[in-house]
Amino acid sequence: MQFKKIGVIGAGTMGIGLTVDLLFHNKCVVLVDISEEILEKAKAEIIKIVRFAPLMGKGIPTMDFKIVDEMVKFTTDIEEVASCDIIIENATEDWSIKEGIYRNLSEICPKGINFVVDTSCISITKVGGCTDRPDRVIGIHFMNPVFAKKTVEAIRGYHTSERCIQEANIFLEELGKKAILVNDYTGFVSNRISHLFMNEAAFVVQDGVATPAQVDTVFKECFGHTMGPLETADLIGLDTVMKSLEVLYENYQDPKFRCCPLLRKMVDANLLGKKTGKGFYQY
Amino acid sequence: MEMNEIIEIVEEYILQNIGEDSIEHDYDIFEDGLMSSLFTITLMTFIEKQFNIKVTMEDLDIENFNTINHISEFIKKKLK
Repeated sequence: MQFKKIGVIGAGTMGIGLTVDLLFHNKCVVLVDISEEILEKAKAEIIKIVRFAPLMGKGIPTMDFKIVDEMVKFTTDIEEVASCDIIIENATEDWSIKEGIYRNLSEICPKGINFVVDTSCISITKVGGCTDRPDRVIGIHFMNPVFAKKTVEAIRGYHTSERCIQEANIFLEELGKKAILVNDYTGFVSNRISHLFMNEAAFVVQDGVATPAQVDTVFKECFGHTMGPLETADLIGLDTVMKSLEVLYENYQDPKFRCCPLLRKMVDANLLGKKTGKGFYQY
Repeated sequence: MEMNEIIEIVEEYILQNIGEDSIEHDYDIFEDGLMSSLFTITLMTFIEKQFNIKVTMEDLDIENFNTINHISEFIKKKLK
């Protein structure tokens, strides 16, 4: 096993799922976020998933939840990732925050360490440009829930080296995953298309064409989708969806990416989906 | 707690989450994708909090949780 200790920046939905998956593959984790409160919530969620995810089948191992304390270091001090074998950044989709993180990581981490950008929209080339190692910056867009998805979207930045790609593939193999390697344009493949889909679904509800349940049922029962677009939006978090649409709109200047007013209103009302207990659905 | 009370609470919770008005108590809620497998995690949290019981590693058999009847029987056993 080449990657034994993993630095995970950001203890939100993706950071939590990633930490669980790393534990399922016997890797130690340093999980960093800005507040103890966020880390406490993340720990509770990680324990819950470690305890119950084996019920999902899919070859998920049964583990004593005490392993969370043994193998995960929860910390607000980003310098604690200095000894990690690879860094995966899952902070909020906000350029000013990400930029600060990467400038920090450039100072903290040894030169040979790769930075994995787990972003849904932000340019990997742009991230690389604010580090001391653009050749060692690669995007890996993990899918939610991380521990249940075997395929990821990997994104080659302009300067990402073949060596970085090879090492990322080794890391992913250790997690039982494979990558579809794509090039670096905002939104890549998955988010550029899926956010149009979710946004238009929100417009359909706003225009009174159908209820959220009806919209999702059309896609599940007529098209065989596992989840409908609005269930997916709730799972991702409507604030994250909205921010991603804003990034897409800013980068392409194409009105097709303008955020649905209903989505914006729901975010303003803190109806963010699963993470707040209410979005298009109640949880 | 009586069995019919347990069934009523479990049924209400399941119906809220599947967005339906009724369901057979022997219907496998994970078959045909009615509930995503991810729902198992939410369901366990509900069971523990609502009935003040602990689901252990030994209890982790999907057969305990795939129908309203099975869930209710599991809860009843734990409450004894």
